[in-house]
Amino acid sequence: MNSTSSQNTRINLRRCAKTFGNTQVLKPVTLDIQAGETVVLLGPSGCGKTTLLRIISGLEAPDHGSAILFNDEDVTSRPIEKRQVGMVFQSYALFPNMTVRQNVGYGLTTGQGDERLTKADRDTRIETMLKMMRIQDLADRSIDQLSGGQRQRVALARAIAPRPKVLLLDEPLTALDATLRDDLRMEINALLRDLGITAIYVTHDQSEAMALGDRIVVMSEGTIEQIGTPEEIYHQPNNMFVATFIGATNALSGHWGHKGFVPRGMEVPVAALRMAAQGGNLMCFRPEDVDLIEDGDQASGALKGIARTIAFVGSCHRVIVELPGNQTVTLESAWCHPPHPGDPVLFKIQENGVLPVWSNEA
Amino acid sequence: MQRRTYFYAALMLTLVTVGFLVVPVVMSVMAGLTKNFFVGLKSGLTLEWVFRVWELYQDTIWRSMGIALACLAITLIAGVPAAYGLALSKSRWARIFEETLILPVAVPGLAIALALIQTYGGFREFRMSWAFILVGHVLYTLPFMVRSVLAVLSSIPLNEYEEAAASLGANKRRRFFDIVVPNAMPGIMAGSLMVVTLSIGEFNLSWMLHTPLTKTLPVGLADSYASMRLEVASAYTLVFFIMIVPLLIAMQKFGQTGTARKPTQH
Repeated sequence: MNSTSSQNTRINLRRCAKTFGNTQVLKPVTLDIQAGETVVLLGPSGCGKTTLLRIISGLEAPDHGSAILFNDEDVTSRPIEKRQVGMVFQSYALFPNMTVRQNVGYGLTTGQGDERLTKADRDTRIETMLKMMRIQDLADRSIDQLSGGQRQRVALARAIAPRPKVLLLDEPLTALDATLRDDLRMEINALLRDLGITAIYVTHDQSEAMALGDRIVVMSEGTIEQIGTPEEIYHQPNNMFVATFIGATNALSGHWGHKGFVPRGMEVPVAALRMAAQGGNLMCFRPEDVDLIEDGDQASGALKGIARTIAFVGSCHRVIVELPGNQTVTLESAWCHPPHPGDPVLFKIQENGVLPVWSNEA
Repeated sequence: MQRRTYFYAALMLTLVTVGFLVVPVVMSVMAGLTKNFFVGLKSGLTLEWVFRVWELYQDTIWRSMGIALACLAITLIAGVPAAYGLALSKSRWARIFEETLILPVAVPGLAIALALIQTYGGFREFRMSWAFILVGHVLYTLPFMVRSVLAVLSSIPLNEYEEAAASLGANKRRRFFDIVVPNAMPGIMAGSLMVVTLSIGEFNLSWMLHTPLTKTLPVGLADSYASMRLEVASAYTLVFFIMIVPLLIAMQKFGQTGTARKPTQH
């Protein structure tokens, strides 16, 4: 893969902010991205993730006082065409006046960077790209003869061909249907690993973020909520927003006593006092972080409720359980004998299952 | 039975209307080709009048073609970038500018010509050259070019193409020539045909702006009707038809393929 690997670029963002009119859509963000790392900017729409990506690309100029460094070189004032970034757009933005081959080769003709390529060099590079994305057969087609998935491959090949310093992907899979999305996601993942290129990937889809990111930057309302590996984000969310945005989360209300958490409507603590989770009046845990008690032996700290809705989701059953105090939780587990609606359900929250987030219920 | 009657009634009405419009054209063409129009067809057919027109007025034909091409060049150079700028700009001023561009179409040509003469008539060399007419034609045809190109550019995701090209290292100039112009081609072609056709047939402005030495084809035509035999004037019309009809057909054809292509774009 030496012929397609690009120089590794470290990216540092220093207090990057963006104001449109009177609204600061991006609060000052400081972020360090390692060379060769894939960072996913994840958040709901309007959280500022696309704005941040556009600032890194040079399509958008950040507010005064912001700085963007590529390998310690300040590129803040450079327009996008001088930054050597590869970009993949949600709508692909392939040029309809060019064939697939011409699209892929376009970035090699603009003389960006210090590379001066001969015609033969360019042709070899284009062939390599077409082969890598498995679109050789489409080389001479026009863009409107391509399917969505094929367009996305062409867009990727076009972005990578000039060996950019960083690859920026703006929701590249959103326009595709589910099956195709899964396939392409795996391909993009393999591609990014193979190339070892620094990549920044914007998405609102948490499973996409989990699958692709070395690190995930969770954003909301123009600020970074948490930066971490997918495991960290999932198991140690910083706050309620991250806990509820990433994966499914149960939030039980009650109070933290000196022996642990006592849910509303119950007398005994159901989770041991631990970590920094205590505080506020909520206790959060993932649906799968529970142990079922199916043989009926009463363990201390067990919760008992009534099964309301049962759904088989392939790997397990998802059961919505109504607890005393008018609270419901969702459990995911591999039941030997899944309950029926109205059956009693007995379970225990796993010792490490309590998420380290706390909040005063709104 | 009733339906058939309606059909034939409608057909008759259509034929009568078409006949009403076409007969004068045919009469005019015939007048240009008969030896003596007042005697009628039995006087025989001839190309004599066409040759006479060529002799007397060929300078107006060349001039009209020259002005049309110069006008096309100017409207291309000024109009395509203008449409590009307008398509990219989201500001209110751009929309206002877009509206003012149509003004020369709405204002009578005579008024524009008068204004030009009042303002620039003092520059003698300029006033006496065909460039004076050219200015009038550019004023009149530019909106058609801008609108035609703008319509195409507004129908494509121009901004995205621009950003994609820029991310691949293309500067403003490269983006214009590599991306904007090729994708605006249907609009540029339609606009060009429109500009040439309008310029060749333009009378109001040219009538006011011409000098005896800078007559254009339509001005010459008016002149021949006023001062020549009817046969000569009719032959002149024939020459005009020969020049303008292919352009009109091309325009029609282009308009059709232009709209037919659109659905496949998406």
